[in-house]
Amino acid sequence: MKIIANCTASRGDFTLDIDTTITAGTVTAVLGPNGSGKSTLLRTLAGLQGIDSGEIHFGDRLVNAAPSIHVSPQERSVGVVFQDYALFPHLSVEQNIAFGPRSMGASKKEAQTQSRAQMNSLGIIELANRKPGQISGGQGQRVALARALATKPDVLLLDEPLAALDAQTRESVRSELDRQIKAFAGCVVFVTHDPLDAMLLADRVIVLENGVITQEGTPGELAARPATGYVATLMGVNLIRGNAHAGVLHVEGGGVLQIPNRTLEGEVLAVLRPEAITLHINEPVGSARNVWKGTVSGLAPMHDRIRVSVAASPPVVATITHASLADLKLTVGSPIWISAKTLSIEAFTK
Amino acid sequence: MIPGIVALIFLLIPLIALIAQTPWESFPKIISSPEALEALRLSLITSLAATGLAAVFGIPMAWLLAREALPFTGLLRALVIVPLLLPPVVSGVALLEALGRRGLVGGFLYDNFGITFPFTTVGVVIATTFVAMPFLIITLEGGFRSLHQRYEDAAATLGASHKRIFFRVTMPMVAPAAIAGLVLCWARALGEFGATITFAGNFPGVTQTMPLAIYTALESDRSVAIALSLVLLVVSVGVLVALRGRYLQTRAS
Repeated sequence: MKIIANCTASRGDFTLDIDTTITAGTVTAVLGPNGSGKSTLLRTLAGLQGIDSGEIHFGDRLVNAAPSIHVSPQERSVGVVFQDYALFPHLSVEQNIAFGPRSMGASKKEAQTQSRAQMNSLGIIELANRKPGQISGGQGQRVALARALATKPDVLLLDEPLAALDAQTRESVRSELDRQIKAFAGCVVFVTHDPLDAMLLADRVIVLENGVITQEGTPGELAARPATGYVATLMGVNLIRGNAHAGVLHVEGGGVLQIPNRTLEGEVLAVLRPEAITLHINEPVGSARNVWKGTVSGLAPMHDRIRVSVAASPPVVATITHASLADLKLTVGSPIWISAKTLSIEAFTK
Repeated sequence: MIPGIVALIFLLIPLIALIAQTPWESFPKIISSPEALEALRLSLITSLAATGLAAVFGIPMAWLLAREALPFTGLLRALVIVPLLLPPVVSGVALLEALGRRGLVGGFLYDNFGITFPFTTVGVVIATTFVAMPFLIITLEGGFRSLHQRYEDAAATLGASHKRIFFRVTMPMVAPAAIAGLVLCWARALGEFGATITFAGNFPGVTQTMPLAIYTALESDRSVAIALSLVLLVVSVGVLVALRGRYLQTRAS
C-alpha cells in the first residue's frame, strides 16, 4: 500500500502544503523544527483534521478529497501513538489495549484475547492490571504502541514517540521501537524534531519547514547534501549558498571559495564539514587554496571536541580538539584564520 | 489579620446561634410532623428532579461550551451564568413571563394543550432547574476544558463512535468535576426559595418545599422554623463533607 498526499491543510493562521508519497514497508520520519507543521501533517493523515484542498489516498481508498470527502478517523484504519501517549488514565493497561478492538465490535472476550496477544508480543503482559499512572514512561510508550497496533491498522502514525523519555530510557526504547516498526507491514510515519531519531529509525526522511517539504531522502542523502540551512545544522555541517562559475563559488553574503567541480554553473549549495576546516592564529601558507579571516563568535563543548563558530565571509563552524583549543588559546572575539582544502568542499545544484 | 477574624466570626455566629436555639426536646416531634415530612419529601423529589434535568441538558451544554462547538461561545457562556447572578425572585418573574398562562411560551402551551406550569410541583422543578443548572454547567465546563482533546482523538482513531467516546472516555475522565457539579446543583436546588415562591407559589403538599415551609413557620411557630433550618444546615454540611476533596484541601494533592 501507498499513501499519496497532495493537499493543503490549515490550523489557525498556519498552512501546511504537502505533496508526497509514503510506501508500505518503509519507515518514514517527518523531521522539522517546532511549529513546522509536523503534528498538523500527522493529524491530517489520521483524519483528525480536514484538508482545505487536494487529495489523500490510502492505497486505492480516497480518504480525503476537498471539500466533500473526509473519511473519519474511525474509518481510516490508522493507529496513532500520541505525544505523551494519551493512555486512558481510568482504564487498566489491558483495557486500554482492548479499547480499540471493543470499539470495532469485538466481544469482550475477543478484545481481551487480542489485548493479551499484543501485550505478549511487546513484553508488557505483567502490566496488564496496572493503571497508566502506575507505569514508567518507557512502559507507557509500549502500551501506547500496543494499543495502536491492536486494531490491526494499515497505517501507523507516531507523534514524537521518544520525546517524553529521559536520555537513558530513550536508547532502550528506541531499539525496541525500531524492532516493532520494522516488523509492521503497513506504512509507518513518525514525527520528530530529533535528527538522531530520524537517522536511526527511518528509511526515508521528509523535512518539513514552515509547512512545506524542503527535502526528502534517505538519512545518508540528507547528511551528504542538505538542501537547507536547517538540515545542514542538524547534520552538523556548514551549508554555503552561492553562485558557481568555473570552479569558483561566489558566496551569498560575501566571500569566495574554490570548489572542486569546475562544470557547475549558477545557483549551488556547498557542504563543508566542520572537521575538514583548520584554524590558524597566523595567516597559513600551504596547499589549502581556501584561506580566509574571521573572528571567533562562539565556543561550545561537544563530547570529545569543541565546536568553534567563526564570524567570517562565509561564516563557518569548525570542530577542534581540546588540545588545539589550548594551543590556540581561543576565546570569543579572537581573530582567526580559516583554511579548507578545495577537495573537502562538496558543491551541488539544488 | 483582625478583619479576617471578624469575617470568620461573622460567618460562624449565625450557625452557632441556630444550633444553640434549636428546641432539642420537641425536635423529633417537629421534624416527624406530617407538614414537615411533606415539605421534606417535596424538596427531595423536586431537587433531585431538577438535578436530573440539569444533568440531561446541562452536561451536553457544558460540553458544547468547552469545545466551543457553537458560534458566540463567549456570549453563550455569559447567558448561561445569568441565572446564577440574577436575584432568584427576578428569575421567578422571568419564568412567569415565559411559561405563565399568559407567558410567551406558556400561553401557547395553555391555549393549545391546556398545559400549565405555575403553582404546580412541575413548576417547582422548572424554577429550581433554571436557578441550579448553571452551577452544574460552569463546574463541568471547567472539567471538560481541562481534559485534553487528545484523549478523545485517541479514542476516535481506535474506532470509537462519538457516543462511545463520550460515555467511555470523556465522562469517566471528568467524573470528579461532574460529581462536584451535580452536588452543587442539587444543593442549590434544595435551598431554592425566591424563584420557587414567585413562579410556583407556596401551597403545602404541592409547591411548599423546605425553605418555603421554614419561611411560613417563622410567622407562626419559631421553633418549627429553627428545627427545619437545622435539617437543611445538616444537609449543607453533608454536601461540604462530600466535596471535601475539592474545597477543604489546603494543598494540592
